[in-house]
Amino acid sequence: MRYDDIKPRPFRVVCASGDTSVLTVPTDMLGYINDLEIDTRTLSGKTSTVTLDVRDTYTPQGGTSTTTVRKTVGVLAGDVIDVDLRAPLHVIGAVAIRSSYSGPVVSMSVLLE
Amino acid sequence: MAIELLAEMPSLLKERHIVHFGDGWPDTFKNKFFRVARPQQIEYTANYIITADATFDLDFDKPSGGGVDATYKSLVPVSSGSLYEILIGFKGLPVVYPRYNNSYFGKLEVANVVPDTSDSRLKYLGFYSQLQSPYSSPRLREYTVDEQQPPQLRLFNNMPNDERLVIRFIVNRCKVEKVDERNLNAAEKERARELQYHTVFQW
Repeated sequence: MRYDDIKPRPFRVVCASGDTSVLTVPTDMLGYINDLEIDTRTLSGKTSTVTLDVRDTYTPQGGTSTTTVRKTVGVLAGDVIDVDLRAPLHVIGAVAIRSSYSGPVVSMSVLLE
Repeated sequence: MAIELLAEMPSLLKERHIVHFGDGWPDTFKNKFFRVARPQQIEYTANYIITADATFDLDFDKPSGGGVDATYKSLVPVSSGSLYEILIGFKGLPVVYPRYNNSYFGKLEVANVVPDTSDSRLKYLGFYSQLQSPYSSPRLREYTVDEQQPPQLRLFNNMPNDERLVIRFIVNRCKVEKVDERNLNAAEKERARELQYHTVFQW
């Protein structure tokens, strides 16, 4: 088997509500979030809009930086919603997800290559 | 050696292979034949996060205190009986310009046709990227010996976002022994791998 034949394996990581660091991309790899899912079974019977901030914190040559990508999704409590990413989100550092409501469980699938 | 781009991932020097150093190398090696006595392959990965539209320079020399740091990667041997054969591959979007003695290597002959990261017409001149030499099968090759001018790489992120560049060095650390030219037959001389110093490309 050649090295080229090894396909990236998606890592599934789950964070509870709030600002939780859920994944640190290894320094010799590039990361792509290719699937983001929100489970709102704890939102107690209401329709709402949940905002997710995907924060990527890393140390470039000469300082620390954070980039944040915001995704807003309308949910009905009890739903499990696939968040439309349009294209995989490129991440390179410590990835954390903050949701505007406490309670929803957010899970993401990350390709490391 | 001058960095060279090959059509495919090259095979590494093996025991008993013969190399010939051309003009320009330090006196210990210049215009002499050497035989590889003992090769050892060492993987070495360095990674950099470069902010948008910024550059970062790295150097194959060692830092003054030894070891490695962000800039100095210690990729030049310190023994006069060693040769490093280095394959270099990339992962990530930034591009890489080879340099020697703080000058760009990939330039054309007309005056001022030299890479310039601030000039949209010259930023895509004389560089390498993951397209030419991918991380999984490096196609860039460099040779280093003690007391040579250390090669340098300028990393440039031309993208609108901060980007990571992972650089894979496959270091074939070879113990080499000088061979008297008179003890080599014509076929052995013919098969010897010719190592050209970067200065021979300045004509």
